[in-house]
Amino acid sequence: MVVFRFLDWLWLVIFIALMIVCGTLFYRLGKRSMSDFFLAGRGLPWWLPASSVYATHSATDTPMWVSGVIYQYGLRGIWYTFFSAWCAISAFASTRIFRRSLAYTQAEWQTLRFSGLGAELLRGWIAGWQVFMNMFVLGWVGIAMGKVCQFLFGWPEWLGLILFSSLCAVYVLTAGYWGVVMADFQQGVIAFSVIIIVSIWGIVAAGGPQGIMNKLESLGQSWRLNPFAFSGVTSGEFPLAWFLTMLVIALIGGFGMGTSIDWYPEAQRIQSAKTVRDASYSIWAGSALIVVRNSLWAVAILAFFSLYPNIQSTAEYEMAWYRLGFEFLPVGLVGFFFAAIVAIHLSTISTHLNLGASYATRDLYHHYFKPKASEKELVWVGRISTLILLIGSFFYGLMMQEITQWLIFAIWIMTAGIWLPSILQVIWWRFNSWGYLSSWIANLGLSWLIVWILPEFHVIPQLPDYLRFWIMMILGFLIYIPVTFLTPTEDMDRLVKYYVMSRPIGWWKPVREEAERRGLLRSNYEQREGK
Amino acid sequence: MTQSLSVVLGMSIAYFFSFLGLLLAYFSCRKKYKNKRAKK
Amino acid sequence: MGWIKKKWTAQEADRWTKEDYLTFIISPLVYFLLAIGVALSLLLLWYGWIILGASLVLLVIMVKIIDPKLKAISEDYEIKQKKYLEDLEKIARWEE
Repeated sequence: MVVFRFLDWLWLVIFIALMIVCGTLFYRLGKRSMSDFFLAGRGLPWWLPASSVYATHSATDTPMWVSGVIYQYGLRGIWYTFFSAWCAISAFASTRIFRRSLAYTQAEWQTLRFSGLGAELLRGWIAGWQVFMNMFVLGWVGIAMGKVCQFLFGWPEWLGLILFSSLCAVYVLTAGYWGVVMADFQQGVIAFSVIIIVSIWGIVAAGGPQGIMNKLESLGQSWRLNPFAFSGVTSGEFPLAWFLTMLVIALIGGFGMGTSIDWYPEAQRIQSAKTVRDASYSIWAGSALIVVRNSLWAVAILAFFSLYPNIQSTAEYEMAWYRLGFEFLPVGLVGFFFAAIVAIHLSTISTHLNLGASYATRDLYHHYFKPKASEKELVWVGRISTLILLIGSFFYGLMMQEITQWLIFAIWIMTAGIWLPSILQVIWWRFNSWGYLSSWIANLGLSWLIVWILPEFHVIPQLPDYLRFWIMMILGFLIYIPVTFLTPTEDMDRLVKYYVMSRPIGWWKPVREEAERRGLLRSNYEQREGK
Repeated sequence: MTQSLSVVLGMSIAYFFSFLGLLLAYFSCRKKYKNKRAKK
Repeated sequence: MGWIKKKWTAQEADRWTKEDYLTFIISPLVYFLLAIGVALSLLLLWYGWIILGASLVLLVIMVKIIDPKLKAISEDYEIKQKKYLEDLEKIARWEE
């Protein structure tokens, strides 16, 4: 348990008040229209969504996860956190394409890229999935905060979950995405400052960089300083094959939409940027900050390892970064540290409350239930959806902790099966809605087979994650490619409209030629001749 | 329960909600197309 | 960098060109070097500073390559955006 002094409580109260007031101040802007409530009126300069990308992906459980992999694997564990590098290519490829589509959500994008019943089914499918996933993330992150509060103050878990999520809901309900993004900026600044302070404090406490290196050498653990200390090509706990698979997934995935679970919150930030250029820079810069943050944490955890090298319990060493803060910061700064933890927590909660509500409002209510709804009504539906998600997350976080554990693994494997189709839908004109929908459904069946049934009955051995990824990708390919060719091409009118608007990268020649034939685009020849 | 079974069960729960969304889309489309045909 | 195009017409900028492909290569490289460079610099290793410096130089080069093109795309697209938003609402309301 941590003892708070007057100054600590003061920091905490000031910061929480600032966060809520800062968000709520934008009430008038948030209530103007659905576009304001979910996209801040599509008018933000790049640095605001960038700070939101960074703040959203710094949750209470993120330092625990980074601590776990670095303590276990040394500096090479940093590559576990490198999945965020999908934004390196996405910022200049899929981000540009998606921003030009103007879709509120990824579900809506399906009805711009595809046509007919298939497109609508995909929209419903992705919207349903996203409403659930956001509630799941809210429960999962919320209960992590409950555990932190239990560790610090001895509170029951439900108190930390309900108290901080409810505080956050105040500004999300009133100001919508305006509140989210403005509070995220403030929270991002606080969180980044504290990450720097605590990490450097930890490094100094461990004797500085030289002290850490000397200690690791005396322990015979100098390999921990090498980010490329692979255990073999395919063997050991950290094989090169895993590293290369991770690089392929992350980098090539940047050409697709939905190749990473993080695409969905990013998609909202992309559309909230005021221009295509702002959208690109916001995604690039937000993720660059995440890369820098992970490296700061990594060195701090190496410092922790040099101080406490013999911890065996995962639950214990996952608290490494928190322990550096609470054990080594001076009196008075502990409250500042906790305020930053609250900031980290609120930024994630606010995003998922608003994002889940956007799918419920724009895709499910507006498009399917009441297409004629007024802007005022839609803003209210947004608020009610936010409230439902909030209450759902309480039940979810408290009652279904074990399922939450299952889903964390499930997300990874789920992304594996739809990774390639999520790229194909962007880069290949002939890939159709039935192909994409079949890839999602095939993914479920294949996961049951590859992950559980076949290994359980000893038909195949338990496979490492990276092998599962490749096998599921190949088997899925054998299903959705025939489905694509056996079902009709998308309506050419829709494809031309989408092409002219979004200018996708990849294999779109027949669509481009049709657009030129209709006089909607100038051909290469006309451009060269200056016609 | 093994971790493998947990993974596929967790995934199936998420898919259940997707399926509900898909059903909503299907019935909504059917209604819209019927109305369009009736107007014609 | 005379071979990098600085002035773009809207039609030229809408096509995927060598400037985009170069950015696809440089951008992940910046992330990669940034990840290693920050960590090793914090450990005060001399090669960490070199890697970090290289990532920042590459970042500047990347912006110089892609920024003129992104500006041209954005300016042109903003003019068309209003009409596209109207179309989007029509699809949402089943009026298309």
